[in-house]
Amino acid sequence: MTTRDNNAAGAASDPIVLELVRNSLLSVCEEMAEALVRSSHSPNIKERRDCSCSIYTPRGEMAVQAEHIPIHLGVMPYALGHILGQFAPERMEPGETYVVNDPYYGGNHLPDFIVAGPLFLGDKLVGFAASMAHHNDVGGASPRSMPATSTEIFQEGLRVPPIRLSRKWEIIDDVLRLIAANSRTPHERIADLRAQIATVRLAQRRIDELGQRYHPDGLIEAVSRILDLSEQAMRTRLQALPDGEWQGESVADYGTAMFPIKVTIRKQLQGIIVDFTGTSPQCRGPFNSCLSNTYASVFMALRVVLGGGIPPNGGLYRPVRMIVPEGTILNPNYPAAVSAATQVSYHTFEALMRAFAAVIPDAVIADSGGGGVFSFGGLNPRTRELYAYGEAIGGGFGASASGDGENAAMPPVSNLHDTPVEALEMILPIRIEEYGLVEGSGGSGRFRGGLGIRRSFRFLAPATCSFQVSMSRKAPMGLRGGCDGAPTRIRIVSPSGHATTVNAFMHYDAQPGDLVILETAGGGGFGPPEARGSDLVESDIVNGYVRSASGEPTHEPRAGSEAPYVRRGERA
Amino acid sequence: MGRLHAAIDVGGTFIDVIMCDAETHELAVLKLPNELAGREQSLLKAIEQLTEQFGANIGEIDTIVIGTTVVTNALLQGTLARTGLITTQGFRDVLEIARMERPAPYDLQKRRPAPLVPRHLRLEVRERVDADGQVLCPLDVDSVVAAATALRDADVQAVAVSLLFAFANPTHEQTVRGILAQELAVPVSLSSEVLPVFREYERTSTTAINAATTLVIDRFIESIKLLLDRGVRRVYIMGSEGGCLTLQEARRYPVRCIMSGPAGGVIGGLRLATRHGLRDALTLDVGGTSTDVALLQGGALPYTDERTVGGYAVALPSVEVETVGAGGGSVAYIDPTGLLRVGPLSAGADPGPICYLRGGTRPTVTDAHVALGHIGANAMLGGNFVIDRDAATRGIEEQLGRPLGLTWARAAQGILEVVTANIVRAVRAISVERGHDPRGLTLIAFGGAGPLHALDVARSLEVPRVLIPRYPGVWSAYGILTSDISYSGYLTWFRTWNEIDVSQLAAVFDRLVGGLGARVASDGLHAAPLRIDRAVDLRYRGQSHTLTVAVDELSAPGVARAAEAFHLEHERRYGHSARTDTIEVVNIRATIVYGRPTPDHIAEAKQHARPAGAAPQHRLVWLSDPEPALCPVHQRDSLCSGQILEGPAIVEQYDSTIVLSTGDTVEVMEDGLDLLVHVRPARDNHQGTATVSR
Repeated sequence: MTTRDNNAAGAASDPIVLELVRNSLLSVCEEMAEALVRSSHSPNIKERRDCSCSIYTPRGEMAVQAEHIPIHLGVMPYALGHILGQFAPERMEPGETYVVNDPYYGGNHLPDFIVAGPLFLGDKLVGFAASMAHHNDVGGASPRSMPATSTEIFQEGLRVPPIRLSRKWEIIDDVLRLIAANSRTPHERIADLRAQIATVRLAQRRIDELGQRYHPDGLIEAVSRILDLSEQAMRTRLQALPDGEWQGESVADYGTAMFPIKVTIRKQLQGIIVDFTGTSPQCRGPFNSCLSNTYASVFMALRVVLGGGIPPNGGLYRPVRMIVPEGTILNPNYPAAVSAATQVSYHTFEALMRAFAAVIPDAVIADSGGGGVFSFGGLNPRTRELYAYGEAIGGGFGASASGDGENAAMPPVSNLHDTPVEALEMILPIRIEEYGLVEGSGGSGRFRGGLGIRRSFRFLAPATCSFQVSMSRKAPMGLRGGCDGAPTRIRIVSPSGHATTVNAFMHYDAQPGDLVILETAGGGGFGPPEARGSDLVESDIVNGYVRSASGEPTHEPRAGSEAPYVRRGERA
Repeated sequence: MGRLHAAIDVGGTFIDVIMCDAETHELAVLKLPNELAGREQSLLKAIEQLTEQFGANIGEIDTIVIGTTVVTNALLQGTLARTGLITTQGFRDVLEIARMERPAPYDLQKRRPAPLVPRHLRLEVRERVDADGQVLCPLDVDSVVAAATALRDADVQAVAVSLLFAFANPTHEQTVRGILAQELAVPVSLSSEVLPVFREYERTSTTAINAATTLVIDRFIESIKLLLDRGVRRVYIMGSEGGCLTLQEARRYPVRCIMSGPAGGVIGGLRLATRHGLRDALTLDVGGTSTDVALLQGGALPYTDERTVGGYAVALPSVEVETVGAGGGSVAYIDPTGLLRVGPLSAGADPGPICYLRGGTRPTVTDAHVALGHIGANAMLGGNFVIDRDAATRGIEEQLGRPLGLTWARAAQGILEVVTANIVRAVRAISVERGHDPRGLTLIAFGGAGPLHALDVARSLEVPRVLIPRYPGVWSAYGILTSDISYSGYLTWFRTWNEIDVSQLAAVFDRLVGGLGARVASDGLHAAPLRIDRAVDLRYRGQSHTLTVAVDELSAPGVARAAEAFHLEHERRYGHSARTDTIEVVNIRATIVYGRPTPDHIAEAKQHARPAGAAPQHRLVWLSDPEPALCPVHQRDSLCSGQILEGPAIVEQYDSTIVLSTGDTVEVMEDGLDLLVHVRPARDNHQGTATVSR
């Protein structure tokens, strides 16, 4: 509305102009996401909105993001960094976009494709726009490209290093045909990639419109100032923390194997070092997280414990330095398999929570359960067509100083929905016989961990199943005297009634009449159980949130009952 | 039969009342602050006051339609009946699992609201029906009796019953109701009646809300009985879907009243669009606490089934609006990085903006308008609502200007620029999502603060025209006044559309419409309906989302036309269609509509009649420049049809204020009622934009 002074430095420090620039760019990101959802074909993108959009500075730092999938948003700057490493920005042309999905070049896992392109005002490069979307299938050993037992990335689908995808907004046909030929659903790939290019083009159009209001140099300067302000605010928050060194450990389990994740946080003045030295060597299965995914998990943790209210952008993370030794599950050597990277990230996040618990206990949460993936497929007798179906199942959320953990929720780095029982049964040869809370699965504490989910699947036709569910050996841990939650448990009951407890990472051929009972882990408790208020104790009993024949809450950890490996949570 | 028709819109900040004479089409309006205490009495007073303006008495009122927030507020404030829930064995926790969604992914301490029915009042009965409605396990009557006894002993005040696949076979739910009736005398809501549609969480949540709000709606209906006692012939309650409900229908389905207020606004917008021949338009309703924006397409109301209120799913269809926390009461503050942000925190009506002198201490959007002279100190409600400009200016200066190193005027202008940007984002989101470019559309602005913001919103969106109704501040009430009576039903019926048996389709629609007809008959409506609308929710096989298309005829060509309409809508919304793919029908919908006499045209209101063409007064107003300008202030009541004003100018009226910047022109349309603003494009004049340049 107002003419500001024509001095860019002056204007770029005007708190109103900066908020307007930030708001405009946020609007561009939101519009990009709407357009992407609208014109893609993959069900993941279209219906579960498993996609994210953001805008970057000319140096590749994230400037503005629309709030979508936390792990995507953390990964994208690294993918863009690899693109900029391959293609010099000064030689980029308007209408060029680049694509990458390879976790060893800044990706997450192979189904997630990042498409990015430069944004120009006139001849001036003012930044980049990028989108990340979970494509339904990119080849590999199993449909949906998330095999449970892969040992090399080559079994997980087509690797796309940073390559050019379009010139003058026209998709490069050779590239498109190559990617399409490597997917079980080629038409979706074509539509999804075209949609992702169109998303960058939309961002360019909106930037052109902003150019009528802002001089290119002024715009760059304003954005740069917004990042500086977030950095300053983060440094102020760090300054307010006492200097020190805090350690946290979480244990990730892949089947029967255990992978400790160790983190040491060193905070001095306004800077912070996150050091994963001591973390377990890489896994032979898909239970590994490439660097970009590891960084993304750390940024998610830092943002939620320290960044509240600060506009999230690359500035927030400037005070952070990371040390992630090579050959560990958090930085595996090529060509390790990585399709379960998201589940590794839950544990990375937890290790940081446990470290921060020593210094800012009110900001953290205890471990959360859930987040595993159960997939199955076969011939659908109703349609006489092959089907493939997979779902992520939530568990108990970790308790915190502010209250009990949420019952039945996805862990913090993810935010997906369930599939309604009725939607499932209308389509697939499956019957859900129970969908409820696992009583007594939340770790006791001053605040109780959330309860895990029990979901029972009765197979009505033969199917091939794949479990990719962690926390069966290592239950989510409590914090500050809170008890551990119950671990994941998977049982298969044959039509004759014979029940078997099975490994949480495996393939399994289901016969008609088989019942798979999946119980996800409960969240860890927070604070000593003795400190729990009597009204909460009573409510737990009345509502059956705790499992007790005598009516007494299960304050003691359930060690010795069904899971001898459950340890008492640390008392920090 | 009475000649007067009235509508009441109870909002968060004000209660709006509008009354019209069905014979002369004269209209009168009134706005009162919403004080909780003695609301019924003040409503009655307002009705009396308006009736007197028509020289009539209350006995001459034919109809009053009420838009109310009682159901919504009960849900938000948790003042609900103690409710029990009966589910299929193995599924009592569905209500609590709630799709596993957390409310704020980046806030670890934010939790879902407590389950609407606590776990110990959620009881299971043995039974199971499959997706085709076949009984897999017959209902175990003993388990129902046990549940009924337990709920009786727990003193519940209402019961919801939601069994799996009850939409495909409601007999088990009906049997449960029969057994409950023997054990306890409380209202019972069945999911197969409230929302016979698949997706167990959404259906259960909607049914539980219905049961939990039956007492609230009963009390409300009891309280408005005094209108009927005074001789008003009919009273209706505004429904979320854009039709009004008989009191009996509202009692059956209180959950259908949940979006009463926003629905009225969008209908008002639709009436205006229709009057001016606009098929597509955007509506902007800026109120005290929030802004609702909607996209009208093809002359129809937009609907959604995906709504949450207070964190609880309400899956019955309601008018689709995008709500942003940006209203007159939105609080401006400095964020941790030193940027100026506005909302979504609102001072609401209580304590309200600083300038209302009701205890508000934080600067709001209204304070900015008052400080800058946009709203005159004596302009609101004809001078009946006193505001203190000095207090507003001081608050902005002390809390924002000084810490940011800005003058109070620049800080106040900044508040308005930021709130405009927030609204613009919401408008972009709804139009782009539907595949529309906002630039071709007209913006219809109402709500007390709508005309204060609409021009800047339009400028940012490159929308060239803004249409403002005669009474923007009470336009939701106008929408409510002009609503039809409707009975709607919605049923999951899953088939392959390409292979549909037309006689089966006709039979299922007959069943649905027959059920609606029974409600109509029981409410004593005898006249022939205005129309019966039929629609289906279609999708391509493999998709989970559907699009709703009308079925104009229950015949093979009618089925083919619906399929074609589906392909076209898919093309428009998602950019592609798949004409060779199998189409599935998932739900069917029907609405029986009864017309009511409505003012298709309004004459000037009497109460503010002033001599036309009166000379404007002047006052100092800060528009976009650092310095104020002496600006003409016109009274809306003195503008005559065809008159054109050029900005800068202010147009004041009883219920709203319009701010014109340099280059904007406003024209009083031929009918003398609505104002058409031609908005100066932003790019014409760099004076009007925030510029960062070197």
